[in-house]
Amino acid sequence: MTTKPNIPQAGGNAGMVGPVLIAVALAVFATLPLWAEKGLVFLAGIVMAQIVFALAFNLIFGLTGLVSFGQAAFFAAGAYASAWLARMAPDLPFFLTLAFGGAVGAVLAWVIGLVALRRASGIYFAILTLALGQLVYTAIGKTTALGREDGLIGIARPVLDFGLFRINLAAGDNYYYLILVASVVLIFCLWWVWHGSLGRILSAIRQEPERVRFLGVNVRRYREYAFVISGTVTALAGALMAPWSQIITPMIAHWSYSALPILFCLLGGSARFWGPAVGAVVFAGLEHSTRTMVGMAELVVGGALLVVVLAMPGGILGALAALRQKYVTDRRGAAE
Amino acid sequence: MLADFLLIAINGLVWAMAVFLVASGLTLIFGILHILNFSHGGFVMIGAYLAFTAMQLLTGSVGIAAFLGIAALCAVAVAGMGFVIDRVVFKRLKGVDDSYSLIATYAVLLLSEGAVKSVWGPNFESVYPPEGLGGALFLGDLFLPSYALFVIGAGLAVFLVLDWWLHRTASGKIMKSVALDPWMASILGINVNAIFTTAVVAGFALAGLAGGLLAPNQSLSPMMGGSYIIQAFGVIIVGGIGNVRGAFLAAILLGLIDAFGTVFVPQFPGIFFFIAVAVIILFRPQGLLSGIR
Amino acid sequence: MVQTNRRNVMKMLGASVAAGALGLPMYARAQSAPYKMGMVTALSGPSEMLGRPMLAGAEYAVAEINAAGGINGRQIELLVRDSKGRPDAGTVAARELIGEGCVMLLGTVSSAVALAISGILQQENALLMTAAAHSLRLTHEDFNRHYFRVTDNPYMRQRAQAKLMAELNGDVTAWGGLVPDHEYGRSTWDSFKHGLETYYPEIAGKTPSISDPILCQYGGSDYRNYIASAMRDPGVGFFNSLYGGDAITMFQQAKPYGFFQRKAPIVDSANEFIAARAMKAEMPDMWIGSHWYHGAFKGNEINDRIYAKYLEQTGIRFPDGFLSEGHAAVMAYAGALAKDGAGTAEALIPALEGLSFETATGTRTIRAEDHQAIKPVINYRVRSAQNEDGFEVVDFRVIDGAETIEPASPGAPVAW
Repeated sequence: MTTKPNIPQAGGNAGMVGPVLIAVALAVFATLPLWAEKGLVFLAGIVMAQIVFALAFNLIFGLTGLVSFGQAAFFAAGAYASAWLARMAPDLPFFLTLAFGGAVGAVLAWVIGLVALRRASGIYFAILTLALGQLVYTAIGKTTALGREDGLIGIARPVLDFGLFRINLAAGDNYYYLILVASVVLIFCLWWVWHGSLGRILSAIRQEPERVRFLGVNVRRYREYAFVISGTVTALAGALMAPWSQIITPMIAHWSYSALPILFCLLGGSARFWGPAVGAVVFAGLEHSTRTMVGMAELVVGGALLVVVLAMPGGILGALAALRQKYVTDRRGAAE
Repeated sequence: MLADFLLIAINGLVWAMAVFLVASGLTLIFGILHILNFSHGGFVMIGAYLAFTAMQLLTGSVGIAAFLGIAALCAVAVAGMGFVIDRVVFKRLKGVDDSYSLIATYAVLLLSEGAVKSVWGPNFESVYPPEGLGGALFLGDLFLPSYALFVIGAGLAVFLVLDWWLHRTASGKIMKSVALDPWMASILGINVNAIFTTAVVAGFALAGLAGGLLAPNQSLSPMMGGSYIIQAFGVIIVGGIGNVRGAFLAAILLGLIDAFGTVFVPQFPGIFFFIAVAVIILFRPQGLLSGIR
Repeated sequence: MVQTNRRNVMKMLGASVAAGALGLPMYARAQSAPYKMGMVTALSGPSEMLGRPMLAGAEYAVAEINAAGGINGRQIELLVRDSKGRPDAGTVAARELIGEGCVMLLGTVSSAVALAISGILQQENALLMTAAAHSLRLTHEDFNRHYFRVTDNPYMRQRAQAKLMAELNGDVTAWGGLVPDHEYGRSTWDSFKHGLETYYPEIAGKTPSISDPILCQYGGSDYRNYIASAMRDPGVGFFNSLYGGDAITMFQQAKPYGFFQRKAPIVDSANEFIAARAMKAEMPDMWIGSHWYHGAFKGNEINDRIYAKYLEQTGIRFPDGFLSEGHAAVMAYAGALAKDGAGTAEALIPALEGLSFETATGTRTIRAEDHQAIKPVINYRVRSAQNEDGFEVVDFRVIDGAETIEPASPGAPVAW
């Protein structure tokens, strides 16, 4: 399961098309509570957390070339740690519990990365992270303080206290906007890593690990950096989601939840920064559209996925880029 | 105490051989095409449902010979589906990143679940062991269900046949050479595409066979496709990818560890499999037996 | 009727743009518009076969009420969403239904979905009436006024089963159990054990000796090691609360060990006819707890009607209790609407508290304090038979739930 060399392009779309599309997507998410029904607003909140989850995963998958099958462990670690702390100490400021979730995710990613990156690579790394992730899943399911298999319920949406004024996140769509703002911040951080010098080194490691090692770069250390950054952001996404869904169950640590970001990346296109975000939105749309079809959900979702993968092997963004390339070339050809 | 010990060991072996039956086709396809076939469990399930229908059609009691015949028919039918999947899906995954096979075969898994539900309905079904395998053997204090012993025998037989094919026959050796270096094999005049198709069809046949043989082992439901797949993944990875002997050994090792763990630490059912997988990969990062054998 | 908050204004704007001048008569129609009920249940995934009869039952009830002219002259409209058996998808479905104007939600198979939805009810000012979710937390630790349960709970049911065993098998005092390792498994076992300790001395005049339960992995394909442990267990009577495919796999693998010859009686918590329909002539002899058994309520009009209709539609001669529970959930809301037709949460909660209404199991009453329905607990004894179904119901017992129910303690855990 080696990733073939493909060079990440800045934003994927040269010119103005990319920024315009991003602005449109942001505008849609920002205005959603004004025109959409409640179920869709709730779903959009979950999808924003999943977008962060998937983009963070792509830092190690699309950029660094490692397939981790245990990402759900970090997501769950962040969600459970922050929810647990909020329950134990309800008076703590919300950002502190959020940070605690991120910190627990960082430590867990550091430990798992230390163990897994030292020994395994390729598919072995994938299955090793899967096994370690399942251990976290089982541990959560057996811990009484975390609600065992039944999870934690009734997670409160906190009040933000800024001294001069307070924002009650339980009221109206306030928490939705908090997820929106926090997601934008986290995504910006990821974008910065992806396009910065660290991102360039990671990308080089994916393509030519031996050559990079020869240049005196500690490959394993850089992979660990990527793993810890990814795990921390993933945990923060989980910590953000917990008060939104108000219930968390060990299912968010299960391997099938780890499969989600992989699915999103491949569906949207892992070679591009925004690919996983597109994948997450498309997949959520597919799943959501089958909720009134009795007994048809699997056939519709499976069929649509298969068509997308077979028709667009570079993911949706890859196919769009190829289409645009063709359009530009055709126009140039016609002009000449 | 000794009898208890033996009983747990035998239970572990039954699990091991059931998982090996599922894993054998998976490791064959992975070894040669580098496709981790998520839908494999789905086709094991289809094999089991086909066996269920066949046993219903045969009114009256089904003997062991008829049961084996049904399992063989399931293998043939699922192999046919494998041929179609190869043409429609796998062939198109050639030029693209290996990881895409994950999502494509995941989609096929969903389709197989949907298909089973529309043909057989969402309800649970169950299949009974054939005449002669419904009871149990007594060895002193030891109580051994005959069907459980049959599963052990079936796993062993499938292993021996596969091993003989890959190591002793001309076509098996060609298969191995293609797995090691398809480019060199094609220069030597081997029709590599035909070998790829053969591997897929053989892998799916093994899925169908596993389904037919294991149909009486557990309840059938459209969700069954996912139930063996993670264990099978663990087994083929711990065994060393594409290595049938390794998968066989790994299945036995993991089966025994899980069985004894479950009995002696009953507070944590099911966790020992994952601990064992993690520990073994840590100490043998390329699996128990690495390389294609 | 129509709350003019920002979202509704935006929606109406959208509606008027779409429908032109037709936007206005929406106000006029409000008084005769149908009451909306929203069904959230598993229509795909592992519990689909439980969600489907539940949906059928609710649809029958709605059709019957509408055919009879509706309630207060208004029809009932049933909106349906798939929870996929997952808390997140269930919450999305519930919020969507609430957004479409459903104050009255019903359904849910799994307790996790019910707990997830019950958490949002107060802020959304909606109600949930669950027809199967069995977690005791819903009416105890995590109780809120917007949640109602139309069926029984483990405390009532498993204690009734223990009482039945004390009556029928007073000489079997050694008991063991095979239970799934999560809250449902533990609460069924605690209830059954409590029942044995209460009723054996009282009815049989004996003290039961009860082993620790054998905790089983959930969703496994191999139960032989648990069965081996059960065979070594001193318990003679055995309680099982594995369910669905897990239970069938376990029964199937336990048979050749002679488990069902060595261990008897077997008491099953909740598998209805699911295992029997799958296993047919191989079905072991056991007492099974159920929401409803059509044979026990012959002569009850609702019972006879929904049984006949379901048989005609599906050909299933032994329907599961989820059918009657889906029906009962709609009947409870209908009863409350007849008392107070406003259809808002504020009007429905007092109308439901203490409400008595007719169902396929006779009259049920919703206990005002903790919103738990008081209903009969149904147990039947099933075993294999040489007939076209492959099994038969040998015996059945209907036990008054009021006798075995726990004292209401909303907000606090069950006191054992």
